[in-house]
Amino acid sequence: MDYPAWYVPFITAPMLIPLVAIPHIIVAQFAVGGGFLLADLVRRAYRDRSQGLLDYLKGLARIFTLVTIVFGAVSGAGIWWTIGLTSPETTSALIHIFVFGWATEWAVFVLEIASAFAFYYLWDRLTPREHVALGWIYAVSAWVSLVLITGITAFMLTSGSWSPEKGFFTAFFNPSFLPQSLIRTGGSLAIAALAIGFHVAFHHEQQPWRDTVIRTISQWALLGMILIAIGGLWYLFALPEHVRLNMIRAPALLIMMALNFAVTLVVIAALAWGYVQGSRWITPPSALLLLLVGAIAVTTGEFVREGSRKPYRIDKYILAPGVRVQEVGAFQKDGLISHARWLNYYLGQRPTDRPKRERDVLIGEAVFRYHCASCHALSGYNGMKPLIQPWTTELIREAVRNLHRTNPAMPPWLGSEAERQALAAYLVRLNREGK
Amino acid sequence: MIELIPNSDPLGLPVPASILLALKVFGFILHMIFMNLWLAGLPVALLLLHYRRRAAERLLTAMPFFMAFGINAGIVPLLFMQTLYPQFFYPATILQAWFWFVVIPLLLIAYYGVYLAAFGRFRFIAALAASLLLTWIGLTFSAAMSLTASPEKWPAIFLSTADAGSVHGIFLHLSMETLLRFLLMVGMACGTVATFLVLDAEWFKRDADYRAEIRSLAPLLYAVGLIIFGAAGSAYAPTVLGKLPPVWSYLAGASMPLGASLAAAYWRWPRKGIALALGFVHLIVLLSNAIARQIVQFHDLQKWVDLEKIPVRGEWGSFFLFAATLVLVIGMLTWIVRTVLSHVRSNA
Repeated sequence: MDYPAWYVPFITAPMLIPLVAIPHIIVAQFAVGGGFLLADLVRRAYRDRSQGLLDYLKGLARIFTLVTIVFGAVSGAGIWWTIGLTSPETTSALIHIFVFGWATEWAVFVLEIASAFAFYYLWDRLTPREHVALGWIYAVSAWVSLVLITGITAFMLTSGSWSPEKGFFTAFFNPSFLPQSLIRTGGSLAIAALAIGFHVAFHHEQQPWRDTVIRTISQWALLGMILIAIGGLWYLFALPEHVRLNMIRAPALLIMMALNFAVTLVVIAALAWGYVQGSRWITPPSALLLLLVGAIAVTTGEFVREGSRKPYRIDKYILAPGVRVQEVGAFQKDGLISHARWLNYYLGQRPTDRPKRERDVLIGEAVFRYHCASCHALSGYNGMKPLIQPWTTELIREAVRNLHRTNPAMPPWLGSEAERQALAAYLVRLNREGK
Repeated sequence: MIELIPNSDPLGLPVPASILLALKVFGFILHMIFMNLWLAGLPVALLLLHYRRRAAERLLTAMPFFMAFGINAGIVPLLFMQTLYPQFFYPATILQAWFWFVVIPLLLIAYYGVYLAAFGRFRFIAALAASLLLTWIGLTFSAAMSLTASPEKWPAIFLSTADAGSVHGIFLHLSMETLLRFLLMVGMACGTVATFLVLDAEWFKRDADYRAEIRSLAPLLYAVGLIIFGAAGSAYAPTVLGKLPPVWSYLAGASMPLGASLAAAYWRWPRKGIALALGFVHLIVLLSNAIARQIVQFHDLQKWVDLEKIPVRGEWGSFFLFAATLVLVIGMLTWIVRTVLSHVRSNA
């Protein structure tokens, strides 16, 4: 809690992350899966000497480049940007553990961009061998990039045997790294197939190569769904106890998980049917519906992963308010304010001649901003006002005292007794305002 | 005031600071080359659309490549900045949170604007919008980096933007230093665009009309860059001269006039030799200025943190993974560049 907190009303600052991250993940998965599909389709087009298919794929590659190189690259940096603003302690820790993982991903991304540009801009000039090779270079580099980032995001959920004394590889090869890599690889193939299916549904109804496209993308997508099924089962076993508890106890997570499971089944069924039926299967409404279903699957999967991680930002290392687990005792002993240097400085500059009750409320509000506002808005996302509206004053005081016992997703109380009373005083005032 | 500066990350540095600083400068130079090309290249292309159409066309067509590689290279200095100086970088950006956050959507809009202009759709409006947005983003970066190196300014900014101890983030550090740093970059950017055009005319696009355009344009553009660089530098230099070893002061200051002389020589003698010399000297302009900026930043922050005293974990395994990947990627990039050049040249 060494950094200033950025207060974003209604949605909370950390909720800016999914606004950037979810579109990014959908596009990034399209970029990875689409690389394999495009490379394979171009290979088949040259093998079958199908100029019609090559012409179609050139148009697709243009959209692909515009979406992945521009939106994918900028929004990817955007996630990092946003977490630095909303969770600086967590971002700093991740960078200090994984700096060369990220640097490796950067190097691979250079290759990804260069091969994507050459693949598209030299479309009619490359030899078939060069063209297909560039397609595979792009696909493999995009996939390596996905695997590297998965190691980092998986670490946040399951840090495994890592401790600050241990290094990069212990952190990277954490218990949920492989299952998450399988899920994301499979998800990438599926979402790319659905996106290409959507694209092809609006084009060239009578073209003979449509069957080739549909069967090819269905094959890849079915492989993807198998990877998702294996990875998904493995993932459930790899999760720590508190994550499983969160999934069961939080209704929103349970609903999201059920939705994720249901839409994944729908996609599997549709793709299998598509493989059997060939191009007759794909119509604009069905393709759009399936693409939306695929996007819902990705979104709900990410929501569950993020939501179930609480109370940690990094499993067993950093708690949601940005406090390292090993510092909890010191926070409880000395008080949160004495460890939150910006808050301490701010309160030190406030007039001290106010009545005790008012000063308590002022301190309570400040403690709320640093301890609670990373997950709770006043009104809006996880809003405190509606949450405590039916509570009595005694219940509020009890809840603050036993924070992590009320819900396993909550961190322990990270302050002194006086700060606890100040926060309770502030919440009681909020509670009265709400009535 | 010192009480507001956070502690170094308890995980320590992954490898010695000197390696991280070298990688930070390496990434910044790569980023600077491409960023210069869009920062000055877009407004120059807009100005030239009606007078020197070939040069404008060439710049607009190449712009998506500059953007892609420039944004990608920009990740490197930011990554190592956050490894070396998180306790300065995060507070400076959090104090300006909304301005820093909107860089991402603005960059997206600018990037698509660049593509529209490259594809010839709404060319003037798209390029103008992209140019204005990228200029604003450049100013935001300049503001963030200036405030990162000036923690003595944090308390006043914090108290004026805080409510209940947390910041609202609607603040931009637009000081004289921010503007001068930005103008220095604009001056160099004009030189980078002039140098690119000369090298392009000599090696890649050798039709006579294009070369004639570049021959008269490059010296003018470099001279404009020198004037901006010189004006901003004469105001900025006194504040940093004491922090820089003389050799870097001379190199950073004197290499740009030498570049301008070579650009002028190219107007008189448009030959490959002069173009190559200009390319070499301008690389020194970029290198010396990037290193000078790093030295000044190091000097400013050394007051508050001694990097040598931060424990080093020795993450050599992941460092070698990165180094090996980089070598492999350079090898594959070489093949891609050779393939591209062979087809571009055979087509020409």
